[in-house]
Amino acid sequence: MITLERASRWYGQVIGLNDVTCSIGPGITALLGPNGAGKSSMLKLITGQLRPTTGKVTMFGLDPFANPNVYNRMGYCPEIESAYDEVTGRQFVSLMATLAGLRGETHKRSVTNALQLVDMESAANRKMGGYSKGMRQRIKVAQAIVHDPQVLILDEPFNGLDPVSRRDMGLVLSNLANQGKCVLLSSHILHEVEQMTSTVLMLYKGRLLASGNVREIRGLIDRFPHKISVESDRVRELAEHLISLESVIGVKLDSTNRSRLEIETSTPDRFYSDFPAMVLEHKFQITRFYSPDNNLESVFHYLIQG
Amino acid sequence: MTDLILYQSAIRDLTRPKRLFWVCVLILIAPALALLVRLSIHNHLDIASFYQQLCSTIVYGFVLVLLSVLFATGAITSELEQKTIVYLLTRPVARWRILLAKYLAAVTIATLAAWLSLSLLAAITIGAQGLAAAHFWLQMGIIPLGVLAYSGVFLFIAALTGRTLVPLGIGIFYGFLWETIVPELPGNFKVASLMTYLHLMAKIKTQNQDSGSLFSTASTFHITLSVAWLVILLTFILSLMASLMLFSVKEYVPREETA
Repeated sequence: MITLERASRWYGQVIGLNDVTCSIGPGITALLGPNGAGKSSMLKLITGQLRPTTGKVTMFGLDPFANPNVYNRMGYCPEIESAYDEVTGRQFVSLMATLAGLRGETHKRSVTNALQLVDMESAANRKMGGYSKGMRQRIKVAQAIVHDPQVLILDEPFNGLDPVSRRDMGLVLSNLANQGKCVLLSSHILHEVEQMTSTVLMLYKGRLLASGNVREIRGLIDRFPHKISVESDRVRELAEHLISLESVIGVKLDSTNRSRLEIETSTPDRFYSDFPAMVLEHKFQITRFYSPDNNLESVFHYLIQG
Repeated sequence: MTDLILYQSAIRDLTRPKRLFWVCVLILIAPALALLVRLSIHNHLDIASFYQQLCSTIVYGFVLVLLSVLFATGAITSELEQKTIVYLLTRPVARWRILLAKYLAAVTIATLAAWLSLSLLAAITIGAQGLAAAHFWLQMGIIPLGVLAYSGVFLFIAALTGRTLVPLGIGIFYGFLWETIVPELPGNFKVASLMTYLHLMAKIKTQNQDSGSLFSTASTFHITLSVAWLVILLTFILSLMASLMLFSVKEYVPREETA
């Protein structure tokens, strides 16, 4: 449905997207990358807001730039927070439905369906100026799906959503994908999209770094030691027990904070299942537990090293 | 239906309270000035000539131009600034239709505001009896043509730059300096000012025409009424067409997003 052939986009001297070739079909595809990776540039090229400086971008075999024949079958949820603050959510979705060519009963039914799908029916008659970030996000998704598009493109759709809304939004998108639609969403949080799809495109500094199955990419990542920081009341004793775990390949006492340990593991999943049992058995008091590697930046560092 | 919805949406967008406040200020400048003069000078005031003076310099020369700048540039730049333009540009509606609806909305509001300003000015100065003698209805009729022409020019500048400050700056320079000074310059400079043609069409007498100044007599080019109509209509048609064509092919993405 969507094809990029050696597509590049320059902003003056700065490159936003660098020689990207890929094709995106039905189902959910996640476009992953840290901030500034070129995700929004790629989505703007796909949605025909920008033209590629070199290369080619097509949707349904057509050039998407300012092309109503493409927009007829495409829904787009931009990242921007701004909206028409003086109109209600229902008026906004209704306006977008009208511009998409919906009329009469179909129009009314589509607007109501879209609002129900994103759980905004009860707040739809309130002005958008008074919406929370999460509500704006949901109404933006509603306007994107109101005309039942074949391709749905969402730029950071989970921003501002609470965990329950994220799960619900994930279900909505999964349902659309199950109907054979193409859903392309961007995110900078790996685990957020891992639960929804196994197909990912990874962008880094404008380049397509990896594409394909998320498990394969995970496999690449897991070849490298994964760091975890733990703060506890009895760190030395904890270190002794940790080193006996098979999943742990190294433990280091933090020189700046004597209550903190830095753990290295090559099998993070196994470590995460071993660790709670060990803590409970020896009654350690854990005051802090986090992994600096659980962000996409580190994932990309691993991939670049690989 | 789609065009009507776009038009209504553009009207709503262009009549936000902040913008309306400045429009009210513009509308009231000429009537307020007239009221002030009428209250302070009781004798020796030639009401008809005073009305013509304010109509020429304030309503036509200032209010009409500035309203056109405000609304025509706002037709493109307000949505760009709010970043909401993306919602319109990714809908299955040809871009030229979006811009045309916005242009018509801008022209409607600017015309209504200019009409209101001239009506209030006439009510305070010449009153109901003087309307016919002062060509009031003709002047009211020419206002939409002036708005169409000026709005077309400023719409083109906004479509070309895609920014608020540039067309506003150019508009203010054009309104305050060009259209005020150029018609008064000696020789044939006056042909480069749209206001010259509008004054002729609306039968507005300027100070130079009254006094037969050196500047006006030095002109060798006589503008006929039909030439004036032709220039105004061509300006409107060509600038609007150029704007619609440009808007259809140019990228419009909010500035910080392209950085």
